Amino acid sequence: MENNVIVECEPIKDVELYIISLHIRLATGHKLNEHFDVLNALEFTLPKYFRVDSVYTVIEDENWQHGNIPAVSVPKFMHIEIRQSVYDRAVDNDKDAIKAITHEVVHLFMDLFYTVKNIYRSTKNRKEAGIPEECSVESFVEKVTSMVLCPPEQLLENSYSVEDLLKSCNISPETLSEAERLSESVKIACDRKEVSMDKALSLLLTYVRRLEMRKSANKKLFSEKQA
Amino acid sequence: MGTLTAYGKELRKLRIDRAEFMGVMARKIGLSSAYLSAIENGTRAIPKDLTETICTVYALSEGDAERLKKAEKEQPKDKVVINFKSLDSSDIEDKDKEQLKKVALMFAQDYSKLSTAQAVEIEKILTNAGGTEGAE
Repeated sequence: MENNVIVECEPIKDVELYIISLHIRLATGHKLNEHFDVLNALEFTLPKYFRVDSVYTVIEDENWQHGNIPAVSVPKFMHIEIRQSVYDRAVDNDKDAIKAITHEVVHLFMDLFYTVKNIYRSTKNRKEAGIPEECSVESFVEKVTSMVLCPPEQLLENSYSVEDLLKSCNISPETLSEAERLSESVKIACDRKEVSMDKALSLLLTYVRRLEMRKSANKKLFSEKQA
Repeated sequence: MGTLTAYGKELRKLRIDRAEFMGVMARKIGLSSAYLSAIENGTRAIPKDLTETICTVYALSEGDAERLKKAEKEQPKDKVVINFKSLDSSDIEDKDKEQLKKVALMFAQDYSKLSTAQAVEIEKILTNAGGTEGAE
């Protein structure tokens, strides 16, 4: 956990978070109307995408050092640690476990879009500094997670019933409500042209630059390890 | 972190070829997912007969089985590798890094001379010192 203390913090617009969710879906090989398969992403697409051997480790519950947290991400190393019981439940298609792991996958990407200097990573630091909940990285990551699991494109299509969506996206009613609220917000922003193509491109370019830097750093780190 | 052993890479290749998750493989070969994950990362030893079990369960070709056996031979056994490079790249002050290295080496050299009570004390200290960087 980095301990940068931030003085100013502005909420990230829902529409910007939508761009990130869109990127995550495409980077992990998912079409817009396709069920998000986080285990498939962990196992196959993300290592290839980040050019690392592996992006996750499963840890025995008895050796888990993060209390009740189901999984933790270490964005610096593009790595996620998952508690064994949570991973096993995800293999059995448990929606809460899948959401918890997806949340950590989103952290890996979010860290590339926004540095920790812009947003609070630590709840403790945020509270001490009097920064509101809506400015916490956890809050942004939750929103992106909802849109990754249930993309606005699916919600706006109207041909899906609530039951269809809950089943096809394998999400809880709470996640669906959040995704619905966000899809409305994104639609309104797009209708009002609140997000320009320039803004979207600049966001993605920042991301690509950071990703390339991270990949080079990782490559150097791993070649040193092998040496 | 993020680095697999040669054996881990072979297992991962097996899974990619079969579009299978690690958790599914672990169940098939009778291990927990965490244990298999640790084997792939080189933090746990490969259990006796595991390679044979994998060859049987996945009906590996002769070539694939040979590669897996070769990777098993390359897997470090009965030893722990202390990687000081991760320490070198950390934000810890140089004098503190030297102190940590000194303690690690002293432990590696003399651990067998410790009494049970001393080992328990060290275990307590190390358990309290544990914790990895991570997001909430």
